[in-house]
Amino acid sequence: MSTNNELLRKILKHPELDGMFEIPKNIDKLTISEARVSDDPYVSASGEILYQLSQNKNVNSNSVYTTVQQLLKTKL
Amino acid sequence: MIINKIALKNYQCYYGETEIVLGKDLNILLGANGEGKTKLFEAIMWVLDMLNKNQEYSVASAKAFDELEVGESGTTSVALYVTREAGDRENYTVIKEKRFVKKPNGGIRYSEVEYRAEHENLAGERNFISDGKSILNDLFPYEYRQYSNFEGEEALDIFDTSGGGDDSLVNLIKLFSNAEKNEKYDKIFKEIYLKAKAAEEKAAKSNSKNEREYKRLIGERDSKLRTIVQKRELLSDTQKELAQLSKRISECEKIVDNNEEFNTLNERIKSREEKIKKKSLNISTRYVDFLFDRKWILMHYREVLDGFNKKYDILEKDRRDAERSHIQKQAAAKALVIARHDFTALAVNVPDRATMQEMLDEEVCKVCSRPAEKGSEAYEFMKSKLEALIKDIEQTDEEIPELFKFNYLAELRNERVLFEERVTSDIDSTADDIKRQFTINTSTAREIKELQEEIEDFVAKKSELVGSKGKTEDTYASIIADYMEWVNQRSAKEGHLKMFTSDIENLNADIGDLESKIEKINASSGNDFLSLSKKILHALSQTFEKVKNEEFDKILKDLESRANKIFEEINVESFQGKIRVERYKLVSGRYSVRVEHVLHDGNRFMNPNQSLKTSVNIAIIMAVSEMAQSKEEESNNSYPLIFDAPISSFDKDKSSQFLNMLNSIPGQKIIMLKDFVSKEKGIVKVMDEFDSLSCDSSYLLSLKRPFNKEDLTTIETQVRKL
Repeated sequence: MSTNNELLRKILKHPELDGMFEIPKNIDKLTISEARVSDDPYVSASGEILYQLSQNKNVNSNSVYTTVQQLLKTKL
Repeated sequence: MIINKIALKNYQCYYGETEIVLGKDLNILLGANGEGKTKLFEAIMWVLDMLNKNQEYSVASAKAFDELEVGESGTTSVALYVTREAGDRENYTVIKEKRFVKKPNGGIRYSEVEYRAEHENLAGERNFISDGKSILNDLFPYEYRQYSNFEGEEALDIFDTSGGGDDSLVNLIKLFSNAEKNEKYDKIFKEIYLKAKAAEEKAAKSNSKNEREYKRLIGERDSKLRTIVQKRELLSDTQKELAQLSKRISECEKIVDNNEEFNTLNERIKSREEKIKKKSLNISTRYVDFLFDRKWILMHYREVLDGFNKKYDILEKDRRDAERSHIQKQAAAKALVIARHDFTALAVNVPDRATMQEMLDEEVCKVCSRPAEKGSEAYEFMKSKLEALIKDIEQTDEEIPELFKFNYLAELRNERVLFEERVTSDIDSTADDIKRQFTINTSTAREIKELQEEIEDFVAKKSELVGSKGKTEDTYASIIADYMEWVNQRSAKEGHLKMFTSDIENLNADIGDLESKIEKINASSGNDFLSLSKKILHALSQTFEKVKNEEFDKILKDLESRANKIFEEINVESFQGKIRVERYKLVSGRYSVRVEHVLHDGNRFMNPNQSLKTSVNIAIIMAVSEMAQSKEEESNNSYPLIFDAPISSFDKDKSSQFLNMLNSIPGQKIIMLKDFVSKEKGIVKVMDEFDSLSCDSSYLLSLKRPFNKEDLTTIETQVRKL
């Protein structure tokens, strides 16, 4: 079963996202904390969501949404 | 959680106080039929809050009650001494207790249940907790408890191994693997996307110029979404009803005398259904693809093309005629000029151009044969005449303009060639393909109809067989009536299922159209940030769902491989087949998991015997349990598995193999068995074969003898450690 860092890599490497963004060069070692500060909105948003999910077991979607929107405002 | 000790006090046949100390792995409690195994299982279920409430009014030991005087009270209790993990020094005791009083009429009156717990911390301090249930739920959550106890062989079939599938296995896998985490994450990913979508729609609604249209589209979409929810509920209910009907039908079919013939009929029906399924794949009604993608829509343009060709040919001929005539005119005009100047049609004494030039060069007038020196009047006269002639020739020699400046017909010809090459060949092949498809569809539909008729015949024969057993018995007569009714109901429900499925598909298609219209308005509403963030979150949500499914499939593969390994260990040197675990999509759109017992060629193993069925079920339960041990997130995921007579259909060898396998799997197992004991002249003995088995603890449960078969107060189970 994958850890959250592995989940992040699986999402970003998934064919579903092919061509939507540039896969980071260090993708095979990319961690959630590195992804969160990426300039790419796809990388940083996925990093941020997984970070929020791993921080709090009872996280609710409102707070994650607000955080991710704030993050995306700085990337888009 | 590990159960370290069970303490019973006056619980049914367990008179007085009984203690059973258990180990952290395999614990075997042997007992012949009627010696107290199931009562012990029920005692554990009582304290685990899994016993039917009605049974709580018969928990007291008849012997203990009998010893009471009128008005006196006694106590029945079951206590579990547990720790979170094996060897943990922090102890918990969960106790369930009921007091009972002997009424003046000799009857029994029970008090309310007292459910309490005790906690002993590392320092040895004891705390008494009045709410035992909350402690139990903390130590051994209900969702785990419900899949941890199995009373009898039938109870092992918590998932339909005949391939129907239900949610039990999905729930088990989610509980005992990390799949639940991914489910939770998936939910959040989806919710975030929906919030982004709602935010975009809200902004578009307030900004859009097409506010009314936008609101209408949203309203229509939401209404269709609500209808889908209703349809899905109906679908789910119908599926449940279908499952119940199928179960009843299959139970009814079990009473059939001629099982072999019945099974043959079932196999024939199954094979016809498979054939229908395969043949249905040949039927294609994707005429919309033919219509647009393969240009069938242009089918009647053949006539248009012929008309076009005729007109083109006429125009081409006209053009050629006009050109020919024009060329002829040009040639005549040129010939005239040439004739005029090269073949001078002047008076005999007028020289032509060459003669004139010659006269100038020689400075002699050859008309009057007098000299005309350069600069003389005669010379200048000749020169002016020659210049006038040249000017005249140049004027008349000008090019006559072409008849057609642009060759539009050539362009039309190119178009015609392209059209004929690309389009008509497509139209022709599409027409052939459609004809072929129609032929295939018609013949396949006929074959399917024939197969369906065969199935109907087989079903009728089955119902005759069901009826054949009980033609003289009233009870069977009602069974036959019910059976036919259920078969008809199932057929009707299957029709409903198809209808709901098709309705949902149509609604989804409508919603897709509405969404794309909404999307267009969103795109024109100008809120780029919200649109982009929605796009990103949508892509991430969809991707996560795929990742989650891929991860789940990995778990299933792991489960399948573990289950097959265990299955092999239970069935040493005997035929077994293979266990296949796979995820499949329900018509409602949800995913479920099915377990199938298959043969080497991948086909389902029809009618395995009970022993094999039990092996499959146990293999899966143990595989899930094994998987639970490797779950990372929570430190303790081990819970006891408690079985009462789970392997009644196993022979002695297979039972030994099973117990050895069970011992090799980590985790606590408490198993009550009737195997390995014999009753001779009222004495219960453990067979020698049991000595070769290894386990943490083993006990023999047997009734204290002598006892009166008709008097419960003489019944008392004794527990002996082996």
